[in-house]
Amino acid sequence: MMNNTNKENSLWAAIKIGLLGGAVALFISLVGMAEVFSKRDVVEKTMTLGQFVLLAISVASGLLAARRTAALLDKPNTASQAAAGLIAGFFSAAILTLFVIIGAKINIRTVFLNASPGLYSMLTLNQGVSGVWILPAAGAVSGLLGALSLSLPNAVRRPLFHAILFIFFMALFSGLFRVVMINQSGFWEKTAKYLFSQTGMTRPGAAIFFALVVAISAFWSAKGQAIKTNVANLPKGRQIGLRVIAFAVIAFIALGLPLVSGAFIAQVIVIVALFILMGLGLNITLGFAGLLDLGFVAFYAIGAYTVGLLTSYGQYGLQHISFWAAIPLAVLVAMAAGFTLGLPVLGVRGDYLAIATLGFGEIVRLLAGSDFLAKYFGGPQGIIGIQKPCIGVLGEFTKVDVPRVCYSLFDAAKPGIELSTPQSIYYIAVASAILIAFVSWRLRESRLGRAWMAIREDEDVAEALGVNLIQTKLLAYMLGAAMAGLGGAIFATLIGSIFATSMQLIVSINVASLIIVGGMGSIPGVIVGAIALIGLPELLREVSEFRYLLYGATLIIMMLAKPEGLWPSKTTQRELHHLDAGTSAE
Amino acid sequence: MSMLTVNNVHTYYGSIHALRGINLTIEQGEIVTLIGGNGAGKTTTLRTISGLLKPAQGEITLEGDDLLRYKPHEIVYKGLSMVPEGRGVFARMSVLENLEMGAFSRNNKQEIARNLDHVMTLFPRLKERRTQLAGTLSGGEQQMLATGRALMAEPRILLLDEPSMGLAPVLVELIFDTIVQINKEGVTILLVEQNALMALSIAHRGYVLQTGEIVLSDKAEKLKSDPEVQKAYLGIE
Repeated sequence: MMNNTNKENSLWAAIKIGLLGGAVALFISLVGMAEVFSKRDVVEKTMTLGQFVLLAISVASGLLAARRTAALLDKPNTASQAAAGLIAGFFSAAILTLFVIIGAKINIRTVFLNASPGLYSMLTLNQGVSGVWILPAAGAVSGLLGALSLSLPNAVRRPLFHAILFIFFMALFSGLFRVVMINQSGFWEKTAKYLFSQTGMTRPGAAIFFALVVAISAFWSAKGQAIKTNVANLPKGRQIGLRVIAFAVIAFIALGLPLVSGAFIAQVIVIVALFILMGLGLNITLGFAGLLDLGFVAFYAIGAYTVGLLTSYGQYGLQHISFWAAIPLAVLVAMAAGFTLGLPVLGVRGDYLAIATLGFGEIVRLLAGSDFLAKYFGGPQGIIGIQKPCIGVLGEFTKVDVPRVCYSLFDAAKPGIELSTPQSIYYIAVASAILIAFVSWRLRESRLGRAWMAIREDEDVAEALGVNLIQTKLLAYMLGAAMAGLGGAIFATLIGSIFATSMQLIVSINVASLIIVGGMGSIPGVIVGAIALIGLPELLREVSEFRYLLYGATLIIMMLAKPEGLWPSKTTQRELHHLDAGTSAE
Repeated sequence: MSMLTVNNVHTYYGSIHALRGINLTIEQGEIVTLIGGNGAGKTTTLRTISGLLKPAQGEITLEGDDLLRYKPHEIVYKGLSMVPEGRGVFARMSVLENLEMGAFSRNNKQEIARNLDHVMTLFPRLKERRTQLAGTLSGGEQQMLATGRALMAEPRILLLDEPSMGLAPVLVELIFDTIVQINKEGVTILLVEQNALMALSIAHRGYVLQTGEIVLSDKAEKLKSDPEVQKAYLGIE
């Protein structure tokens, strides 16, 4: 009897999971994601990205349902799990089928803009209403496969999963690889055309990568642990040698990348590096010292405007100095701004601090873009004609709208190296990010870093222990601002012009989000967060349309599944998993 | 010269007159306790002495040095440490980091290391848990940590705010034993307690605080046998 009710439960559970999956599938179809994705291929002539995503939902539903069944039943077996997977997969697709049938009878496009004929034909493989059976069938099969994958041994399932995931990512980025490789011509061009099509991967390309990843993953799961212990057992000198080699390889790739990547990828990396700078800055005020700052973009703007005003050869240029001289000044001005913000909000805590800083960010943006100050900051027209950095000697400033000429350091008659392309700014941005990451790390380990963490935990107690709150908080604002100011300064020279409208609140929110996703207070977390939240959407044009939708989803999922972030600081990790740690320590 | 004198101190919370002219003297090497009911102003007194609250009137001197001249964070440098009410450990820092934070006002690394060893022998539990996050400690361990952290500043006078709060009787006894031991090592102690019986049993002298005023002060044994005190604070009819 008991068993019987459990069986009913597990059937209902499978249906529920399937319906949930179906709701997700319907949602991404109705917001237009499925149709946009179907224009890209995972494997050319075989499967589009849209199909892949929808099937992945069915596979996941099947897998979850099978797992749930295993938990519900007294004696789970493969057959019942497979049945659960089949049911869940079917229901996850059936909702879309229902939607197609309804959509064929009634025009729902007046409400759901994206319920287009293109979407219907995508969901029925261009078969029209007669093809409605395809989707639930495919869903059921996918769900079944998902369920069956549970009974595969780990050694088989893992490599398969890795390979599929890898092909998915390769297909997403195939356009980038293709462009980079075709630029090299010759052998690389041929390889690129063999592996990648215009819209995704070719069949042979997918097969090669699949086999490769399966082989590597299987090898690593079999031998990885042994290799790790072998390395750990190596003598100290050899270990350092290995590290040096690894470091050299990374440095070589980092240095060489802009030479082959082309302007687009270099620019994306520069933007990621700039967000890393901002993230590291906010990581000091928010992550270390616990002072929420929602107007952080203001310091970025101040750094950018300082460089703009000091170096521009346009009508608002004040000094026409070189970029190298302007950078330290921009950092100092940003620090002064941090001080100015910090002073009035010293006594403000928590939510009130968030509102006050939010106001600060908006004031800076509005002032910079206002007509009132337009004769200094250019108002809505912004500041244009920002001098590019020059390795060499800058010629005299002659007149407005004529850039200063960059001469060689050794021969005043020859041109010097002007860092005008994103590929050359890349070096400045990446070097700055590395430098500031190092500075952040040293700061965290310092006496000042300890004081920040203490005031984050309890201001009163920290003060009673001898921490000067005023000084410590102001330093947090100032150093955070300095880092953001440096980012802004590089941004100004990258783009060559700055507009107040690009200094929106959303930038501050992005920076806060990337810290949260990466892991609050963690320096590698900032880097991972910036790559995930800024780099990926920039690289994936298809995704960028749904950027904020995915942002929101990512944040919610992160908070539920991995609240400590992608790469948490050790402390946060211990805090959130102290129970596991506690039991293992006993 | 007295270790600590508090002379006619008045402290306000906004318009609420919380301390109405407090007078206290604590001699070098004493344990003095301040007892009183809820809202009598015990914590306010401690927070005023340690500089977190500014009195409207009155004077506070530490060995003749006017404490009101200093900012809150400077007072610890004068040799006065406080263990705040409700422990106030830095929850997301490890036990060791908490203790190191306690020595924030000091620079000599060797002396700090020696102090750390001393605190660890005083509270062996902290040694066992030194890498654990302070927020995951039990209440008693947190009290030990907060006390140890205050000792890391090498104070000459230690202010303790309700160390027994929320602790099991056996732990209260342990904490009080340690307080006596700390005192024997030469640290003067001002102890604020609701658990008047325990406090009076280890203290040399005591003050009774009622609605912001000292209503009684005497030797601890005398207070213990005072019928008024027995009725109001010791639960003896």
